[in-house]
Amino acid sequence: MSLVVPLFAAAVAVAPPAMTADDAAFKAAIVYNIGRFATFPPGRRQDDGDLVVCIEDDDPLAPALDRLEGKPSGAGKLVVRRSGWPFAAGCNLAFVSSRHATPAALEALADQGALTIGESKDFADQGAVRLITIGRQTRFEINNGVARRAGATLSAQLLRLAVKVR
Amino acid sequence: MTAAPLALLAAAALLCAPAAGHAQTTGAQDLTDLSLEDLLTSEVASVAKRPQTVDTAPAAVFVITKEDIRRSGAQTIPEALRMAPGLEVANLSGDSVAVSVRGFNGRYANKLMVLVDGRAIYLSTISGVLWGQQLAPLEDIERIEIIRGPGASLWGANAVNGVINIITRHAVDSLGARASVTADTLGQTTTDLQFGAPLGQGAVRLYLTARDLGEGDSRARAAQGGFRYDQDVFRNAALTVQGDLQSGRWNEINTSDALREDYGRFKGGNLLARLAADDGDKGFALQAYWDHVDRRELISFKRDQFDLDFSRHQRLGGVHQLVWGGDARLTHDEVEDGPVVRIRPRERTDRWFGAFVQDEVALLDDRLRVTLGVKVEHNQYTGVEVQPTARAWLRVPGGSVWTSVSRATRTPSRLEADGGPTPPDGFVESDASRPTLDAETLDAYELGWRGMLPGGVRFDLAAFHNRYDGLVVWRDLVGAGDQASAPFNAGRAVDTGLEAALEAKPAARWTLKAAASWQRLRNRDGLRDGVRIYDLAASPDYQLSLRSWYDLSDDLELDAWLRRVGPFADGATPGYDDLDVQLSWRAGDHLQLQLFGRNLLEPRRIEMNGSLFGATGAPVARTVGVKLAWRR
Repeated sequence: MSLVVPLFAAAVAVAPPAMTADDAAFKAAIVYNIGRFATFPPGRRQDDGDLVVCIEDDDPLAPALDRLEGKPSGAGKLVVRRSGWPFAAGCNLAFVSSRHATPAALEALADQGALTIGESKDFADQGAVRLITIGRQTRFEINNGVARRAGATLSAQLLRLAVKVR
Repeated sequence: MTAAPLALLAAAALLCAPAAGHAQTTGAQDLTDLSLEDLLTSEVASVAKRPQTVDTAPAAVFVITKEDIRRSGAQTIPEALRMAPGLEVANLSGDSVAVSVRGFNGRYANKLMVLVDGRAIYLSTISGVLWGQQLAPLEDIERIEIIRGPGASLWGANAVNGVINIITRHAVDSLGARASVTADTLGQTTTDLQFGAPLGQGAVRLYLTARDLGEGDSRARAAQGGFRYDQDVFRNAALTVQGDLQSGRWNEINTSDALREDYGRFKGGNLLARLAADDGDKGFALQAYWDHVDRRELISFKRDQFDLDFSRHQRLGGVHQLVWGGDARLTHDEVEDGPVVRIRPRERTDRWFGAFVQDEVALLDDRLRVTLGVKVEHNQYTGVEVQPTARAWLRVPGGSVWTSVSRATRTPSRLEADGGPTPPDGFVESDASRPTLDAETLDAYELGWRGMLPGGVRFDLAAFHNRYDGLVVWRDLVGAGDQASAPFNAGRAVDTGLEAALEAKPAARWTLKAAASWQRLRNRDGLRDGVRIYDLAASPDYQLSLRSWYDLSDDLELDAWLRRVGPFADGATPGYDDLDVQLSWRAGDHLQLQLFGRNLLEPRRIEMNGSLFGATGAPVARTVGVKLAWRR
């Protein structure tokens, strides 16, 4: 018998979008989804229930996140707040670039109630969600202790989809 | 049937890929419409490039997802297969399970092609699948794609009644450490250990699984270890290397005195490498594998298979999606004389060569897709086999309809081609009296309709009419009295049936999934003196399945599965009702606890009587158990 179809399947299965503009869009979509699966204490979101995602102005992910501005999130919508470093208070999600992902900075953000997201190698030591990219594959790892410290409750489904939970 | 725009990749190729002008853009707008689960599975990334969904398949397709498996509580692959409409699954012992679709079930059900990550586990030596040796941990299965109906125009011979494609998870999806233990009141246990980590430019998964299943005199113990390595290479290609080693032994209940003391043992191993690329408009896959089976039981044999496959797909002229490829396979087996069968020559090497081409044309602004395909194959049993298909798919309000006409063949097993019942001492068989066997053929006609009803109820209906010719029938040889028999292509049969799958979400926390099937399988040969190695009566006339998933809270799930399997046509096996219930609790970030009850409606049942060579079905008993799963 020919194994052509499974082969073909494999070919499709292991070839995700090239990680250029697509890569950023893909990561932005994961960040957006993390926001959907995270619950914050009452009053922590902006007055009208909006979810605030903070990101540095010059972060390569910022343009892709910008395109998601206004997407529905919980009772409100996604608000992308671009700024310099450090972020002002009021972030629900904080995308922290590798150069600023120090233990002190991540702990400070958690104490301000921000769910931190980043990509550096040891990010999940003090950060809540680490995006892991191997080849063209992007997944995420969760440190739920850090998420709880920020006051966020992550859904069971999100934890199940994480490739690793600390 | 799946709820999400799930990539059905095997079907994608079967269906032959999407038409031009229907491609989705990969913009972020589209990605956020996908569920996170779909977003993360690598094939969904490909959906963004190539919108291949179950909804556009001109075939009877059903996908068992990771979530389906988790919430079913299935401990083995055949248990999970019971949720697919029309799938016939009957437990025979801790090791043997009869699995078929659209009739002809039995210990050596021979008309269903099965592959694990592109490696065929259908053995041409015995014309069947050794389900007790399929030990891939269920946790590692990404999805199981089931195509009811012929797949021979792509997979070649022996993909007669259906194709099952078991796909394991990408290594990146299993980073970290996992361990789980399942134990129940029958003393059955399953233990899985797993470790995944980045390695070089890719990721690797290592695993070890051990099972002790069955009850009383019918007990099977088996262990398997293996690995999978995935790495993205070049701009758009991916490399996968994977392999497994396994060993097991079992007892089984047997009514034949000669075999009562017998027990079975197996060893096995495989190694596979695959390079695949896809940039949306075109792609290729190149795969090679080796597979080894060493099995001691009623029919004892060793078998090695080497296989090389290549396929290529490309879009032509905007409306054509062309898929073509070829394969070469070398099989060497060695069969021992046993108490029930003798095969001459003992050793045999077979070479198989095949080539296929398939084209899907999009017409009427992509409301109509027409697929034509054929596989031409040469084997040393029956020579050249030509297996064509013609399919059409039409978008209609609220869904789509499809139809197909296909031909598929089954090549003789080694027992059929070279063997027979072990003759008494001193009996000399004359080769001259033995006919040359041809392949069994199926002409299949199918019709399907799927879509969404008001209220969000998804439905998927299929009807089929199968006409079989040249089915292998064993008859006593002239002049040999009852001392020797041989196979002849003398059987004819007709099978007509209906299958349905439904999915609904009555409440935000509640999901219902139902399946139903009905068939009427009849002999058309009028033979009275032949013994059929296939059993027309070993299939239920109808089956019903209802699964309920209820989320009591974010951390607590209550799931139930009610099934009805109709009586077999011969009355030898009565029908039965079955109920499984499972309560799952996420007891922290790293621990999951499940309490389950299975086969709750009666103390025990026999799922299939009167199987081959006096081996009867072992009882399936009521059981209650617990599963603990840890990850870090």
